[in-house]
Amino acid sequence: MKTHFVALAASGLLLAGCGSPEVRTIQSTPVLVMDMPPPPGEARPFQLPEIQEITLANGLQVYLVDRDGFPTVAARLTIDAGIEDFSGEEYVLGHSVVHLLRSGTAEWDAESISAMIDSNGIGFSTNSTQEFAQVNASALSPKFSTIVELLGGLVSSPAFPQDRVASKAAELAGEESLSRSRPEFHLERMVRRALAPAGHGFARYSPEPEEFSSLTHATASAAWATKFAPQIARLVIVGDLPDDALSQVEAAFSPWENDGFEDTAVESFEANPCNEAHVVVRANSAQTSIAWLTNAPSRDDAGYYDALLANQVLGGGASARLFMNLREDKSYTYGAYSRFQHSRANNFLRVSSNVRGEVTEGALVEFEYEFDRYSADPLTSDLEDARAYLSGVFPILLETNSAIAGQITSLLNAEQSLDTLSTYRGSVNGVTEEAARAAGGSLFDRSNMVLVMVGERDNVVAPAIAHSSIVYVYDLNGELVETLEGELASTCE
Amino acid sequence: MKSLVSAASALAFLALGGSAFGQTPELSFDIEYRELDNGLRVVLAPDSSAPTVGIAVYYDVGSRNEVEGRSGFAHLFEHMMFQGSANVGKGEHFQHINRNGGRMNGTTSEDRTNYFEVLPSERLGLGLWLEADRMRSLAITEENFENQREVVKEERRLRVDNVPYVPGWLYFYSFAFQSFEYSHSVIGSMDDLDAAELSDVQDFFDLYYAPNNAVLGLAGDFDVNEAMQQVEFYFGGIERGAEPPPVSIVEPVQTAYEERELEDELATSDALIMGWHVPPLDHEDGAAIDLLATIAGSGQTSRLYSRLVTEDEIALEIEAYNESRRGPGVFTVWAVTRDSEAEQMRDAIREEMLGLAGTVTEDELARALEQAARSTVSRVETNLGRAMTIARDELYFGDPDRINSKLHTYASVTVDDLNRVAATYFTVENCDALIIRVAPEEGAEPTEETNSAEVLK
Repeated sequence: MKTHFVALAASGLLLAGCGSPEVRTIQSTPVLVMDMPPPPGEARPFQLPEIQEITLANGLQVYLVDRDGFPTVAARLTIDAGIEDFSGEEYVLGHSVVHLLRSGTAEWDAESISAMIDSNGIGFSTNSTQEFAQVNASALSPKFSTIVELLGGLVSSPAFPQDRVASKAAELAGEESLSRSRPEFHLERMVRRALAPAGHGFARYSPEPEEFSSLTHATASAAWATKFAPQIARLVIVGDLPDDALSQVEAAFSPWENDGFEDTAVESFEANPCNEAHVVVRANSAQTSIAWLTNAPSRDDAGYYDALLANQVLGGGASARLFMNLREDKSYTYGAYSRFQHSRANNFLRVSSNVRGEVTEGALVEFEYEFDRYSADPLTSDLEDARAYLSGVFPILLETNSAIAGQITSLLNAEQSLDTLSTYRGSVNGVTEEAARAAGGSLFDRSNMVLVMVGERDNVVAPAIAHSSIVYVYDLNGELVETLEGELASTCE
Repeated sequence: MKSLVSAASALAFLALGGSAFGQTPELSFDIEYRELDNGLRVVLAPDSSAPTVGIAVYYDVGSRNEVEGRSGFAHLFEHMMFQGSANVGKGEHFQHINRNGGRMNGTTSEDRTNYFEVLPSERLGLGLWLEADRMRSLAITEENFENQREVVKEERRLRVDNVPYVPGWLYFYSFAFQSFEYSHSVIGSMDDLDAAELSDVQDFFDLYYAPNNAVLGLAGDFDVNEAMQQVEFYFGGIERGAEPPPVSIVEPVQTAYEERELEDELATSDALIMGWHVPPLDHEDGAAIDLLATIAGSGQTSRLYSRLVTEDEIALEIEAYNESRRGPGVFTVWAVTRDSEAEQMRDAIREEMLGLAGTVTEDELARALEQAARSTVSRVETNLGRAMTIARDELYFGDPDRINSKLHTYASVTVDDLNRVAATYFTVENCDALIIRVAPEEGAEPTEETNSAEVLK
């Protein structure tokens, strides 16, 4: 039976102010009124997780966080062996080797591995990024032992059986072909090319489908032996852990040895962005995909938090300036944002949106208006909002075991201290208007930005000419088909 | 039955016991139910384990409530709910939430529209104030309406028109369902979005956005009594509305297999959608159909993946979903060709799906139960996920406690149930299929296949 909520009279409510029935005080909370948002209540303490750090004898760094409460467990294994660690004919290996781990180990065949995953309700994924190879697993906490055994077994004795590798290689090649049907593939490929010096590994976004045929038992095994070692890996496990969690981790991961490991240094580069444009002609595009690119500070740069706040003001979310202008005012787009992308090779800012083709020119004008406005207008309230958001949202970013595992992993991957979890909010709140203005003024300098677009020829070429000094036009195969002179004076060195 | 628990905040937990799961997880959230005099249903799940609060308002209106010529209007209206109200200016909803360290959004489906926020728990009042203000007094202006009409059209271009295969899905639903309510898309057609008028917005608001047509779900770090005092203050004075007309969706029993083809100018591989008609969400076979979706097409041990990807190597990717709805639903299988013909995949999928009846094993059931347990628990791990779940369950089933029994519902399914349910629904004649073909390049000679396919522009 449903119970109707009884009136509030007995709950300590007091009528207050000018006889209005819509003004009340609720117990110890302040006066509530209808026409203004209520003041916040008393902030609840936010408990940072306690992190246990251990380095195993083989060099694997282990981070355990035992949390009572929700009985789940999330594990993230990260190896500093990313796509950028491979070049030339080996490039495809950087993309693929981590995805081949499920093909079999010395003890388990592929079917056994899949059965272990599915029969225990384990969420499992592998990922290769520019910097890292990652293996992630999550499950209900009673499956902790299975997760640890699974991850330890996969990395300790991968077998890369030829038949499975060949099959997976064909599958990866097919997926690679499929990805080319999406506009974001072409945008991302051109972003890399626009930023990196010719010949640098960063300049490549993905292998060509035919390259996957070079994946074999021999090439995968050799790549694993030389690049994927415990001494460059980190394991983060967060959740409702058993008392013997550490000893289980030691037992499962200690067999992971890699005597053939060859440490490789990734050559970092400073992009030299200027007012040139790279456009990809994609027929039948319903929208133009736009990205402005420029250099950004690294995560350990002294000015990182200044830049973080500047980015938040410009395009960090749905209340930032780009969103308010291009979407809420001009209706050009469903969303417009800016964000940093970091890797060991490079750090850059991407300012982007997808707009209907016929407003491409108008959208570029509004982007440039916002870049210029950042330096011209005061930041005051926008900066306050940005600080409040980045600081306030922090507990929400650490609400679940999986989210905590992700945050710790991100810090470790960025070679940042775990103390950042404690100092982050202070760093954000400590950014002054002067510092944020200076950071943004430098970041959002149009003369130091390269423009990348994907869309119908009629929608992208003319606007690119109007907003750049030189326009490189590419087809869907990434081939340069035309070079056009832009209307702006070149800022390129 | 509604659970009326004391106001003391109790931790949500899972207990572990033994049964078909091996170790059966048991959800046990304290969930309270209240109803205001104006008909607003409030469901609360207090839990102090994280200093956050999830707020979810579910309105009993979705694209199934739209009328012909106004497809996409429920979703367009959802956008209008962020355009301001009596005390909140245009764009200020985003700003209020973000500057208080929160996140928010809204979504529209065939069956409902929801609005939600997650905030630091001391900001609960802010979320309630914002939600109440727009339920009470939406600001409707021509300028805002035109702005959001264009934004929604951009959303359609972004998510449908500029992406391969998605238009194929919308086309599939258009002939798989016979009722207008489910055969048209949530995003709507460009023509219908253009045809929408400002007066439609006020009419829609008056008809559907009343407290007696909504459920407010709260989950997280709050005291129930204090939260209810604020709910009563902000929402209690909003007037009850007229009861919206009931929706009853009946799909005719399908008596013959139907297959169509479509050309997609953005696709790079042929693909296939197959769908079997299944009963509504609240049907007694619902849990068995969910588990059959896992057995058929979730994970690399599933029957479809094992057959089409691993053994025959004719599919690049394949998945099965139980797209259950408040009305009749559809169980879909999606597959992309891998150096193969779509017809090969179709025949293999049909063989596997029809072959489920009488052959499901205890091992397969146990595996599906484990996956169901993890996905069910994961959905309610955050306070926002919990708020959304209990609000939805109250709206759809009148049972906010449903989450606490969901794992038991799954655990009670037997192999016999699965075999019976598979035999009932996975038949030749109960199926529709769409083959999506790569459109020939301009200037290419038309083939027999492309001559017979509808061309998607």
